Amino acid sequence: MTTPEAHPLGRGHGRLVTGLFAFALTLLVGGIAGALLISGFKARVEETARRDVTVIGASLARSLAQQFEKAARFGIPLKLIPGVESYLSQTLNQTPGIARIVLRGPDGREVRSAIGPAAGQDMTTAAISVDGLAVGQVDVTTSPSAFSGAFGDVGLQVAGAVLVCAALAGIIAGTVAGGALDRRRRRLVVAMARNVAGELDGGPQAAMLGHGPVGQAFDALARGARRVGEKWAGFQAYAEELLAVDFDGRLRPEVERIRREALPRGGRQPSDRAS
Amino acid sequence: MTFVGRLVLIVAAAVLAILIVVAAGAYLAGQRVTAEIERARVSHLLGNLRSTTEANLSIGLALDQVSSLQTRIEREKAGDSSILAIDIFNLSGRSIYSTDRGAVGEAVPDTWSKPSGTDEIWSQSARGETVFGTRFDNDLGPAGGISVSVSDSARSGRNERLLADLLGRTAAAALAGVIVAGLLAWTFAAAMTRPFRNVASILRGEDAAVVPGRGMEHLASQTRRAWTRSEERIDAGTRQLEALDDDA
Repeated sequence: MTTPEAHPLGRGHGRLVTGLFAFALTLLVGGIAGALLISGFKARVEETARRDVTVIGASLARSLAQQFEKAARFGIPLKLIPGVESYLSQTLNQTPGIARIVLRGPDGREVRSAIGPAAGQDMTTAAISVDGLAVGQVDVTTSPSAFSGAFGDVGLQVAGAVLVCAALAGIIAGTVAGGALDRRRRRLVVAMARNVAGELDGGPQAAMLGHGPVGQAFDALARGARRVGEKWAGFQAYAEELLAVDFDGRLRPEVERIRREALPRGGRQPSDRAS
Repeated sequence: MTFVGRLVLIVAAAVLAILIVVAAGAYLAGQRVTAEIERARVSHLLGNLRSTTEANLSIGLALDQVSSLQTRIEREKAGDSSILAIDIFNLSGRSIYSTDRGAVGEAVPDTWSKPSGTDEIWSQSARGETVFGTRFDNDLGPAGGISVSVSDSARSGRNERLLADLLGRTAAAALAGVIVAGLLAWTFAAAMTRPFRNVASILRGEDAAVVPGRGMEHLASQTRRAWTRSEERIDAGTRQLEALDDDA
């Protein structure tokens, strides 16, 4: 037969389960909240950058329009100017925040263009005119998101931080919260096993364990053990009282028999652990 | 402290720590983006001014003959409130065109003309402003430099506005995250401590039915029965003592 201290129910998995739960919960909530925070702030930064990128786009459109005006003054049609496509591509690659440059003819149809990988957001237009006559236009589409590459680097660092914080939360929660729960479970099981064995054990002071379910369980155990203990003490006092007035010793064998029969199963006298 | 209290405290602290790290990273990234945008804006302006200047020099004009540059730099300054000054200076470091007309003919700081040997855009920060510069060439090589002075207050003002926005977002995310984490932790703790709640109920006699299985509830049920049997034996013994007392 196992002793109360070695009772199999005393071995709980609170440490492991609590640690894993805290890890997963922190990873989930922290990860989602962090991702929402980053994406919202990134959108705000891009919105703020929009005006500056539009200024760059307008300046670029104006500058390109002036250059095409010079060619147009010599009577060269926009379509026939050599190397325009590669020049526009080079300009697009060298100017940050530009998504697309389109050179249009006087009828508004696209003549040449350069398109970058980023999606455009705002478009600025500069007219190409010679002696007041419109010969075409330059459309420059800007993309503020081209500047938010710094947030991509932050994403990896943040993911690492989330993982580290979640791991720490799991370890601390497993040790501090889960470990305490396992210890209290073991103490409760040992105390109840002692009561089953006939020994009145009220466990530790329930007030020290708070008002949660754990404290309530120890409180119920202490109250029950105290009640039986008080009843046993009253019975013993009554027996001693009878023996005290049994001057000829006639009642003693009978009182001792009744005492033995009143003992809990196992024959041990209840201890005073409950007091 | 109760199990749920400890668990909620630990998870809430971890979520807050994550959000603080995320916010710090986001703020640094925002600062970097702001600096990159400013540099891109000024670099673009410097590139335009350089190509215009070099185009004029390439057709044989001397720098002080390109008077359209004065109009151009004044127009650029008027179009951007963060620009404090634009200077175009020759190789000997003397200002030829400047948005500050009083500075025309004066020597620009040595530190401006020194970096002109490189083809890269340079920058120097001092007294609340950042100066960006580049050189321009003629057919014989370096011919002078262009500098654009930008106020730092616009950038720091923008960073402060972004910081205020980020703090608001972080506070909202922290509140929501802690509430959600707290509720989930409370639900988990309720499940983990349910055996204790059942044990308390059984030991109080509120649910004294024999619980099958080998859990703590079963042990509590055995405890309760052990107490009941003890009380029955004590009651029986007390009755026998009373009978003995009456007979005596």
